[in-house]
Parts: sequence; structure tokens; C-alpha cells
Amino acid sequence: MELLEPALAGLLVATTVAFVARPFLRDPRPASDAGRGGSDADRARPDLLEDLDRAIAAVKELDFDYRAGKLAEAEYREMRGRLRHEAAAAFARLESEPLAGRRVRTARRSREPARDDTRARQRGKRLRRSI
Amino acid sequence: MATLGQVALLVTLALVVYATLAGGYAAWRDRSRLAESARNALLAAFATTAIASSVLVAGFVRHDFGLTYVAEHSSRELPLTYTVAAFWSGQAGSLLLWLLVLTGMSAAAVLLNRRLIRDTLPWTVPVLAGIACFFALVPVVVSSPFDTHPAPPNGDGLNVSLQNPYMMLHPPMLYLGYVGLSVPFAFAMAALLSGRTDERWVIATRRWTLASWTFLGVAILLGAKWAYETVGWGGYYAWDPVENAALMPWLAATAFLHSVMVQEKKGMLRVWNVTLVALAFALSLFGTFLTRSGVINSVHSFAQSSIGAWFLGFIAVVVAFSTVLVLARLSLLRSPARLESLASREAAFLYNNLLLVAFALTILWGVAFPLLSEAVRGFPVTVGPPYYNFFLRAFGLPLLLLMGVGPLIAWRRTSLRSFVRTLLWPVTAAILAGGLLVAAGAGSSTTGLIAYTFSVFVLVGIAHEFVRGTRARKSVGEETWVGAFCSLVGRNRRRYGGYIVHAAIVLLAIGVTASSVYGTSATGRLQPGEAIAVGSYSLRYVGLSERRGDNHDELRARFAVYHDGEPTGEVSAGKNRYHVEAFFSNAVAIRTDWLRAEDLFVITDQFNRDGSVDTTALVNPLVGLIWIAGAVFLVGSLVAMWPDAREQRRLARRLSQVEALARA
Repeated sequence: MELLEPALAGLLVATTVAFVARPFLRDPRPASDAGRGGSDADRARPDLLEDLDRAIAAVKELDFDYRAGKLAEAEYREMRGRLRHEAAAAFARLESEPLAGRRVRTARRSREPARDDTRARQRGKRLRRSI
Repeated sequence: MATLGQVALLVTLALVVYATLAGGYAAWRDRSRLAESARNALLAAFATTAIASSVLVAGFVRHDFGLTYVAEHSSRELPLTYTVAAFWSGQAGSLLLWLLVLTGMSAAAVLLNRRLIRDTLPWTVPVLAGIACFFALVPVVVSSPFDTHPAPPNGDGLNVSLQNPYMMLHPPMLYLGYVGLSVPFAFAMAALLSGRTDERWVIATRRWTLASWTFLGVAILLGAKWAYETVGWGGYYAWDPVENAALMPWLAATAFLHSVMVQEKKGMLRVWNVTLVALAFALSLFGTFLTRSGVINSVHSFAQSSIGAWFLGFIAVVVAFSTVLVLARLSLLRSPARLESLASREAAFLYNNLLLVAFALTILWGVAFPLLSEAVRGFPVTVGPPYYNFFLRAFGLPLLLLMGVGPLIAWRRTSLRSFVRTLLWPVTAAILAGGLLVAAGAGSSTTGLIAYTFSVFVLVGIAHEFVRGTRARKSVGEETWVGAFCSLVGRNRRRYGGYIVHAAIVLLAIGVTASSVYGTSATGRLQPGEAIAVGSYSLRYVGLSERRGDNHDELRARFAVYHDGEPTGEVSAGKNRYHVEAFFSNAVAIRTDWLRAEDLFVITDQFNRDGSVDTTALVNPLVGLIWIAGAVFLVGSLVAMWPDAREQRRLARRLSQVEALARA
């Protein structure tokens, strides 16, 4: 029993060190160790997607508020027109951002991004119809 | 097993230091293996802290009085449940609990959000680990729960105030709330450090903030219930600094939960939101400092120690770090969107934020002023309930009103005509209720009358929102009314869960107002056979009774209770004497009448040699609503927290687009 506690403590230290060192033990000489840092353009992309989602959600929210009786007909029509315009502008910004060309080229090479691209295009069509 | 506990704590410290330094370097230099290794260190820190905690719990259960901490906080006579709860009854144990919850939440937050915030995760790990460094360092260097000494035959016992079922739940809930706020703080700081200030950190932390806020709210109410039943002065909240310590971060988190919706809907208030997250976290640290440093005298302050300076230093580091980071990233946080109208939902959120933060800072000033006064002038100045009650009225009543107005108006802007039409039902109901209350004699208190009128306004507004929303949903489909209602709540759980929480706050406001404004009390020295009248009750002192409990003796004065002259049974109030602790505590009698919605509260202040008892009796109207509000609050929070499949699909779609681009 006297040895049990130091043995358990030693086992704890050894297990922990092995777990922490695992990424290096698993792959001692990787081809590349670079992480997921990205360019400024990569950083802008989620913002643009966010703007688009926000604009679509705003139109839906406005429709709901109108049906719930929080808005008069005239102000609803005026605000809806403006929000549609904002949503369309957000979509146009997303389509015209500098990485769009790169995405299209990649889509030709890879099947999965192509599916994403097709989805995005279909979504754009749906969006134009819905707003 | 003290050695194993000590080694586990030391390994935890080494792991979190490594996760901070290696993780920070990996994030800075973009090294994936090192970042993964730092993440593993943070995950392993939870396991080693859990081992250290298990060793301490085992020490308590086995009555291992060779551990100084166990000897100082338990005894052989202590019931098993309180023996386990003694884990967090002292400073070293409660800091270990902080560390356990922190590493557990950090591990869960990192694992659950690894996809959503993949590119900010390398920064999240060192921030979380940095916080854990402090909480691992203090138990290792300043106050270790694994210090040993020659084992005495029995321990000193547990502080009798803590020998209460609510005290088994209150501290863990409080810590879950305090510690939980470190997750949104770490994610916000990681977003700033990585320059990825888009909405993802908000989405990743939304449920964490809601959960921490819920835990804090429930902890505050459990603490109030404990004070009501155990401390024995007839109230439940006394503006004690330690009570306020939990209220301040809760108010800041409440402000954040509202303002973050403005960021999600309109992309506004980004600077304000990261500031609020940092404020809430700093206030949670300040709360722990107040409870654990012993700088204040309070019934809740269970420790006298030297860790105050450590905490103040850490709070200063957190405040400086977050301020510098927010200032450095101001250009990324600026939003092109502007407030379109002062009569809009987002404007209402802004007003509510200003009031909540002003209230939190007012309380902070009330708590800090006596400490500053003592430090500067050498003597403390007491800031008592009148100060806090004044500001509760000044900020609380407008907040109550805003809680009713905000949900009724549309986002972006509302015309005067629509505004008036929307408010018609709630305002009419509030005016009618005010008239009825004046006729019923509730006009004796202006504050009470205003609070009740506003409460009716909010409740009718909430009911109206549910009705209008259900009608709107029914108008677009062929659903039944029930189906439309379920679909309404299911499709926007946060909004309607929030309305349920609003209803809980209204119940709380009614309960607090009634019990503090319309309560009655009577005090008297009673000989056997004599009676005291309070409200519509009369209490006749029958005699004494004694009983021996597990670890204490009970002395009770028995009273026959009459309501409007009719006998309604008996209550007993008195004192408990704890054997090992050699300490007396109050045992009050509370009789709740749910039909009349009031409590009869009896305290026996003193047993005299001539056989008489000094008795105080109170009638606390509607106090039960406060505890009901707690249950409603929990239900509303759960509805708001429940995962929304539609939203998750939307996020998954957005993430797949971002990732597809990253692969390209």
C-alpha cells in the first residue's frame, strides 16, 4: 500500500505527458505544420455570409411582425422594399468578392466544392424569388 | 492519499501553464501540432483536477483528519450529505471546485465548438488555460486542500450555517454561473486575438452564456431561500455584499443576452458586447474575491485569508488585457449599421442595457465604497439597504416597464400609430388593474402601486404576444391553434423562452414588492398561554419541547395558530445547539398558506429564565411567488437554451460554405 500512491502518481504523470505529446508522436515529420490562419479575404468571407443571412432573416422577421399586427401596411411595404434591396446587395457582394473566381476554378477541380457552389447558386435563385 | 492529490494539482498547474504558453505560441506562429498538444493539455487538466477533487472527497468520506482541510471542516457526527458538501465549505476546497468547473467547462467548450470556431480555437485554448493558471496556482501556492498534520481523533465540524439542503446546491450553482462566464470571455478574447470578429464567437457562446446566467439566477434564488429559512430575520435578501457579488455579473450577463440579439439581427453593438462579456467575467471574479478574501464581514463570507491581493492582481490583469485588446481591435469591431429609430426593438434593448449596466455599477460602487473608504481613510463607511433600495426603484421600475414595451415593438422602427395600437391592450389592462388596486387599498405604497401596474402591463403584453404570434402562424398554414402555438414557440425558442423568463421576473417583482411593502410584523415577550397578534393571525405560546438530532439538540417553542379566530394548527420555532461545533443557530417556523398566498414567519429570539420567550411574528404576503418565479425562470431558460434544428442547419450550411472556400 505504501508504494501504491507513488505508483499512481507516476502513472498519472506518464499518461498525461503521453497524451499531451500525442500530436508529435503520431506525426513526427509532417509535410506541413501550418494551421488554419488565413488571409484578410478569408476573414471577410464569414462577414459577407453573415450579412446575407441577416438580411434574409430581417425580411422574414418583418413579414412576421406585419402578420402579428405590429406594423401598418404602408410602413411594412416601404421597409420590405428596403430590406429586399439590402438582401440583394448582400448577395451581390458575396458573388462579386475577390475569392469568387478562385471558388469557381476550384469547383472545376473538386467535386465537393462544386456541390457547395451549386447549392449557393440555387440558394441565390430561391432568394431572388422569395424576396 | 494526500500525495496523490498534491501531485494531481501540481500536474494540473503544469498542464495549464503549458497550454497557455505553447497554445499562445502555436496560435501566434500558426503551428497545428503544437496547438493540438496545447488543447490536449487543457483536456488533461480537467482529468487531473477531477482526480485531485476525488481524493479530497474520499478524504472527507473516510474522515481522514490527517488532511488539515478535512479536519477543519467536518466531523464524525456530520451526516454524509453535508460531509460531501464540506468539500466547498472552505477556501481551499472552493478554489478547487472553481478549478474543477473551469477545466470541465473549458474542455467541453473546446470539444463542442471545435468545428464552429476552428480558426479561433487556437487562441481560445490559451485564454481559457490562462484563467485556469490562476486558479491552479492559488491552491498550490497559497491555500492547499492537501496540507497534512497529525490526525486529531475528531474534526472541528462544519459551519452550522452551511448545514442546510440549499447550501448543498447554492455554491456549486454559483460557481457554475461564475465560471461559466469565463467561456464567453475566452471566446470573445480569442475572436479579438485572431481578428475573426464575425458572429461565430457569439453563436458559439450563446448557450454557455445562457446556461451560466441561468445557474447564477438559480443560485441567487437558492441563496435567498437559504437566508429566508436559515438566517432567521424574516427576509431573503439584505443587500449583503456577497449577495450583491452574484447579482452584479448576473445583471451584466442579462444586458449581454439582450444586446447580443442586436448584434445578430443588425450587426450593431459589437464593441459594447465584447465589453459586456469582459465586464461580466471581471464581476464574477470580483464576486469570488468578495466571498473568499474575507475583506468584508458577512454571514456569507466563510473565509478569512490572504488571497485577496492575488485576486485583485488577477482582476487587474483581466481588465487591462481585455481593455487593451478591445482598443487594439476597434477597427474590426466597428459596424456600418446605425440605429434607425428611437422607437424600435433594438433601441429598447439599448435602453434596457444602459439601465442594467447602470444598476450593476451602482451596486458595485455600494460594495466597493466601504472597502475604498477603509483603505484610504482608515475606517469603513456602511452602505446600507436604503442606498440599494433607492436605486432598485430608480432602475428597476423603468426596467420592468421596458420589459413590457420592448417585445411589443418591431425591429428597425415603429410608427406612432402602430405603437399606440400595439400598446392598447396592455395599457388598458394596466390602468384597470391600477384602479382596482387603489380601490382594494394598495395605494398606501406608491412604489407598490407602480410596480403592480407595470407588472400587469408586462404580463398582458406577454400574453398578447403569444396570442398574436399564434394567430400569425395560423394565418400562414392550416395548423390547429395548438399546432400553431407549438410551432410558434418551437421555431423561435429564444424569443418565447425569453418571454417566459420575463413572466418569471414579473412574478419576482410582485413577490418582492408585496413582501417588502405590504408585510406586517409584531414582537412580544410571551409567557405560556399568552398570545401575540399579527395581521389576521394570532399565536398562543403553548410551551417548550426538546429533541435530540443526529449532531445537534433542538429546543422549540410551540405556538397554537389561529386565523381570524379559528384554530389552524401549531408551529414550532427555536434554536439548535450543535455538539461538535458548540454553536447555536436559529430554527424559524414558516407556515405557507397558498390560498391566501402568504407566509406566517415566526422567530424565537430568546428563551428567558422565567419561562417566557421573546417572539417575533411576521406575515409576508406573496413571498411564495418568489420561489415560483424561480421555477418559471428555469423553464423559460431551458426553452431558450433548447437546440434549434433549423438554426443549426443554417449554421452548418454557412460553415460548409466557409470551409469549402478554405479548402479551395
